[in-house]
Amino acid sequence: MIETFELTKQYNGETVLNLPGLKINKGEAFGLVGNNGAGKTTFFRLILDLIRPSAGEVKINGEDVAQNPQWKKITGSYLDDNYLIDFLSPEEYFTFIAGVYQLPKGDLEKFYQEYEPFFNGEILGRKKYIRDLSRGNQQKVGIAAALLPKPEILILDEPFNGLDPSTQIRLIALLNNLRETTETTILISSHDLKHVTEVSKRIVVLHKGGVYKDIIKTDNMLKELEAYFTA
Amino acid sequence: MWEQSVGIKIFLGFVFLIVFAEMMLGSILLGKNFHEIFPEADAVEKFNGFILYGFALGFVVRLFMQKVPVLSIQPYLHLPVKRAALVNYVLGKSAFAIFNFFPILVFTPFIIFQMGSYYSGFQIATYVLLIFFSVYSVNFLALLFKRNLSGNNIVTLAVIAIAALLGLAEYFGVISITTISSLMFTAPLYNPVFLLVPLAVVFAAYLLNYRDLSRHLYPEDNLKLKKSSRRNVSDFSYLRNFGEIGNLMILELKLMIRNKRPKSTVVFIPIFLLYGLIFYPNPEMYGQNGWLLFVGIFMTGGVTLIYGQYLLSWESSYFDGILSHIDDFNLYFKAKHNLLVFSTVLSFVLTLPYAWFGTKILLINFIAALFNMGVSSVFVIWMSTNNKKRLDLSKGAAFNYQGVSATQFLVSFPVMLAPLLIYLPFWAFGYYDSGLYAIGIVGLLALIFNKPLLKIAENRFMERRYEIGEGFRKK
Repeated sequence: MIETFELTKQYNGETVLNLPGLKINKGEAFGLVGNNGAGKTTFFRLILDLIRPSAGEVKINGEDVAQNPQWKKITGSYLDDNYLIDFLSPEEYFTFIAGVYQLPKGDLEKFYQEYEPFFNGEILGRKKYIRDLSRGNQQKVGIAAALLPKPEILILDEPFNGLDPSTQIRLIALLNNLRETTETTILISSHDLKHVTEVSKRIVVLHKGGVYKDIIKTDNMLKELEAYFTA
Repeated sequence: MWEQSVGIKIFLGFVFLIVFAEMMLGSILLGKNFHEIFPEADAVEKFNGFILYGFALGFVVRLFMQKVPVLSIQPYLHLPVKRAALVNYVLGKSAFAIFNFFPILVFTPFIIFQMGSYYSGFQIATYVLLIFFSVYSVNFLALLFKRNLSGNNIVTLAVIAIAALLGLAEYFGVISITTISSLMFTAPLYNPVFLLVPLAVVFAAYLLNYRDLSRHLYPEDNLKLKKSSRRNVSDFSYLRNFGEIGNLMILELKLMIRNKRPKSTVVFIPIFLLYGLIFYPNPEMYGQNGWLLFVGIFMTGGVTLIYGQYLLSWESSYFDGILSHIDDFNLYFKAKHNLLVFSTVLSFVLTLPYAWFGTKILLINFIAALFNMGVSSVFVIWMSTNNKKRLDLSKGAAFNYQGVSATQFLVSFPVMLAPLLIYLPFWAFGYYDSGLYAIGIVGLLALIFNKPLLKIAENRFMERRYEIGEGFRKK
């Protein structure tokens, strides 16, 4: 579903990402790990057409993401607070997103009901703008907004960062549920090995911009990863 | 477009040099020949009469351009540095602002030529100190003002209003600021005791600044200022009926209303609308079509120019969201175009009262509005694809120049000049009225064909979206 073709990205002559042929299939729960500067966010930004590849391309459903914006309608994503419109209240933000994805009217109500546990009373009905929320809650809003359109492709960059423990657990449950009951292609990057191994069925370890390991989930996965990162 | 910014820097540097040289020349000439310009009065007294105005002007200029020195205190709080030292350092830095050195330029020649021979060394020293204290009084008072009040639009407008009133009062002879000013600066020459007054003012201003800064050393104090005010702003839900475009327009309107910076930008628009009052009552000087056109374009196009040049930058803080969610940028720009057109129409409606000065003015304003709706709007949108710097919308006030580069000023010029250029050939051949109609027709055509015109801007945006996004991402 998502495929790279000789995809590279250079900054100041230094190659920060090199993915000649990475393929992510529909319905896959894909985890991306790596140390800082490994290229995780760069990869996601290239998929989302936020930065220009130095060479090569990313294709979603056979179409170059930079040429054909159709993928935007089936993709939900959240990378960082450059997504959030901070002068809106969370409700207004969700309404705006719903408008952009042209979701039918009832979907918002269902969404609020479904995500009530996730929001834990801290997001809705507080009469606050997003800029007045704590960072953790802002993160919640961003993640929820990515999930709101029930996208075919979900991309979250280090979503567990900054979430409190209860929310982390809830998010894992949410993602696992998504993985088991839908055909959503889930892409998560994380610094948290434990969380990412719980959610993903396939993990790619990036090292200095290249694929170091590409493994399908096994029971030993966590130990293997820990070994790699200890070295 | 790196070469562009270097070129502009050279240009600006050149302009600055010329201005500086002219100032030097002017002040030397002034100093030398002052008594010839005002032969009846005592030169020094007359000169002193203007000083207050000079300082007032300096004050206003500082409000616009002087940077309020802010030291983010938090990184230093836990270090063994005395709070007093930090605050004094920050305030002391401000003393070196270039504005404090300009008066030297103006005063030195005058002192040398006009006062050297007539006043004793002691008196001249007193005078110098007088000026010194006064300049720094203005410096610190300006800082106080900026730090506390510049975010408040009401206060800003009040200041301008008061200044205008005082100017009028002087003009009509109600009060004479020049006399007061003259007294203020001449008296100490004869009685050095008066020197204590500006000295006291400087001290007071400095201490107030000191107290101000020290109060805000503790981060919690600043947190208290963060009010999560949730006024019941209308939801603009009627716009929702227009689908995606409506959705985007609602967002933009909320952006304008709920953020300090765009709000204060827009608040200044009414001042533009008053421009007509300067020009219309003087038909002998400004009665020709060319001038009327200029005024009309300015008044009906104010919002377009001021708001439009940052059109994309306003959304810089969530631009990644825009890029990953919006698949049809045609709609995106159409929504912005709609808002610009509406604002032009609104401005025009607000200038209708100027019909009192004659129907010709009404016609010209209408034509100017048409031109702004059609041409200026798409031009500004096209130019906004050059936006590259992130804007912090919470930093309010018109006195904030973050993100401003010289290119912003260059945007206004073509918009103002274009209609005059169209008018020129008609004027040369004496077809004055046809010239006006031509401008109106151009505007109308541009409005009718806005789709392909917007497409040009959209294409440019698509080409540049990566650079724009990257620039906006940089905090």
